[in-house]
Amino acid sequence: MTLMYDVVAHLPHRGLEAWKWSDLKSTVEARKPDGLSGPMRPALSTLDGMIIGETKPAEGSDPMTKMASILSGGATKITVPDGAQFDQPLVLRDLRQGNAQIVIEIGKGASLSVVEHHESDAGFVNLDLRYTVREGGSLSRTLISQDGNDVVRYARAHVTLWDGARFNQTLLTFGGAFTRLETRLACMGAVEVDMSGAYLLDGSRHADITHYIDFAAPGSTVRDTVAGVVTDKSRGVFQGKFHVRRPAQQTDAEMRHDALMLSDKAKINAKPELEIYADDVECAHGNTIGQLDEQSLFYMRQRGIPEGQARALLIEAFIAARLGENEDMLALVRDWLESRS
Amino acid sequence: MLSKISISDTIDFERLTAMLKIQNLTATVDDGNKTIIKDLSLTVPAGEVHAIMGPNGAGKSTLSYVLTGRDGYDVTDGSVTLDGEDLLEMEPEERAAAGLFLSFQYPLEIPGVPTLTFLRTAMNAQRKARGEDEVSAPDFMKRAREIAKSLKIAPEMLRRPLNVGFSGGEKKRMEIFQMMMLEPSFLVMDETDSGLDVDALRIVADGVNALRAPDRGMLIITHYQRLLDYIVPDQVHVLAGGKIAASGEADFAKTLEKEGYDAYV
Repeated sequence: MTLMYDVVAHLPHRGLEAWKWSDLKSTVEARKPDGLSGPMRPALSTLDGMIIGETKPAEGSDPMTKMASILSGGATKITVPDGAQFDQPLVLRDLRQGNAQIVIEIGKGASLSVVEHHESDAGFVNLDLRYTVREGGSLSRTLISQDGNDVVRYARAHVTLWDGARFNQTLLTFGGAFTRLETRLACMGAVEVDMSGAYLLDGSRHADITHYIDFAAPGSTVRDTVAGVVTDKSRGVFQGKFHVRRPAQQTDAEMRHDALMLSDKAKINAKPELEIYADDVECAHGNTIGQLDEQSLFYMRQRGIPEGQARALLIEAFIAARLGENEDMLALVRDWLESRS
Repeated sequence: MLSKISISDTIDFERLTAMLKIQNLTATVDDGNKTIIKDLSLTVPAGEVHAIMGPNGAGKSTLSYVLTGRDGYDVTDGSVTLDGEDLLEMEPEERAAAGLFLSFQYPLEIPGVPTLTFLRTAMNAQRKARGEDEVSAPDFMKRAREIAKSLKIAPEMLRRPLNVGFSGGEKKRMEIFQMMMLEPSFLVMDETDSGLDVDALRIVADGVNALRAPDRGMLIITHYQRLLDYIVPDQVHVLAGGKIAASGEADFAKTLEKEGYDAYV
C-alpha cells in the first residue's frame, strides 16, 4: 500500500504545462485502476532473424519512465541486425494492464514494420517504448488503440533516428477513460519522417496525442498530420512541438491538426509549437477546429442520402484525407461511425 | 402534348394537370422574421417545363429551398404536393426519393468523396427508400460512362472528389450529370445558366432537353432569358414580391427581358 501511495503521488498532473489538459494523477485518484504498480507482459510475434532478450531498464528522470523501469521488472529488448528485412510485421499485443519497457533496435539499413494493438477492458497501462533506427534503416509503426471505457493508458515511444533513417507512423485511437499516446523523436542526422494520426471520441472519452520532435542535425524532412473527431462530452488533446536546434539547418517540417467538433459539450485543446534556433529552415504549423458543413449535408440529402449516412460519409472522408488510404484503419473508422448511427 | 403519351389504362389524369401543386404558400427565413414567399400558387403539369423569372431578391432561390426542405426555410401557410403527396411533411432525402431534384445555383464541393461513390450512394439510398433493388456496379458504370460522354465530361473527373477544384461551368455540368443519372421525375433548376459559356450552355441544355418527357415536370429558375432560348418553356411566370405576379407563354420571357421587371415590383 505504501508503494501504491508513492506511485499516485508522483504521477504527472495538470499543474505541469505538458499535462495541463490530461491530468493523469486525478484520473487515477478518481478511478483507482488495477495494474498501477505491477508489471505488464506484452505478447510479441517474433520473426526469424530477430534477437530477443532482456536489457537493463532505461534510465529517465521523469516519473513515468521511473515507474516503468522500477515496476516493469526488466525491459525486453529486440534487436534487428544490420540489413535485415522481413515480409511480416512485428506485432505487439496484450498491452492490457501494468508497466512495461520495450527496447527495439533496428540496425543499419534494416527495415521493420511494427503493429501495436493497444487494447484492454480495464486497468492502468504505462508503456515505455524505445525505438532506435540506425543509419539508413527504416521503421514503419502502426498503432491502433481501442480500449474499454475504464482504461487509463499512457504509451510513450522514444524514437531515435540516425542519419538516413526513415520513420513512418500511422496512429488511430478511440480514446478511453484516459489515453495519452506520446511520440518523441530525436533526429540525429538527415532523416525522413511521415506521421499521421486520428482520434475519434464519443461518450466522455479522452485522448491526447502528443508529439515532440527534436532536430539535432541538418537536412531532415518531417510531415506530421493529426485529425480529430469529438462528440458527446469527449475531449481531444493535440500537443505538437518542433524543437529545431542550431545545427539543424535545412530542416523542412510541417505540422497540422484539424478537428471536427460534433457536439457543444465536447472539447478540443490544441497546442502546436515551434522552437527554432537555426536560421535556414522551413517550419510550419496549422490548426483548425470546425463543424460539419451544413450546406454540404443539405446538398447530400437533396440527392437522397439520409442525414446520418451523409454525416458518416463526410466524417470518413475527413479522416481518410488525413490518415491516408489505410484500409484496415478506415474499416475501424467506418465501424465506429456505424455504431453511432 | 397529350399526343406524345401512349394511351393506356394507367394514365393518371390528375398528374397530367397538376404534377407539382403549390397552393397559397407562405414561407419565412431568419426564424420567421422575414417573409419571402407570400401566398404563392403555381401548378406544373407532368410533361411541362415552366420557367420562373424575376428580379434579384424576389424569392426565386428561396422557392427552390422551400420545395426541397432546407433547414431555416419555414413554411407558415399553404401546401405543396408532388404527385398528390405532401412534400412539406417529408425530409429532404425523402423528397429526393419521391423524385424531386434540385440543380443548385452554387453546387457544393464534397472533399474526399469521389463523384461516382457519391452518386452511387445517392442512387442506392433513393432506391432503398422506394423499396427497389440496388443498382449493380457494371450497370451503374456503363450508364455513367455513356452520360458523361454525352455531356463531354472526362472519365477521370468522375473519380475526383465531387466538385472539388472544378470550375463553375464544370460544377453545373456535374449537376446535369447527376440529374441524368438519377432520372428524377421533377426537376428544379436554379440559375443553371450562370457561369456557363455558350458552348457549355448548349451541352447542358441538350442534356435537359433529353430529359423532357411526358411523365416529368420541370421548373427552371432564371434571371436571364438566355437559357430559355435553349430550353423552351411551356409557361413563363414572373416571381415578384414573393408571389406569381404574371404568367405567359414562351415569348413572354423575351418581353420581360426587353421591358424588365419594374411593372411587377
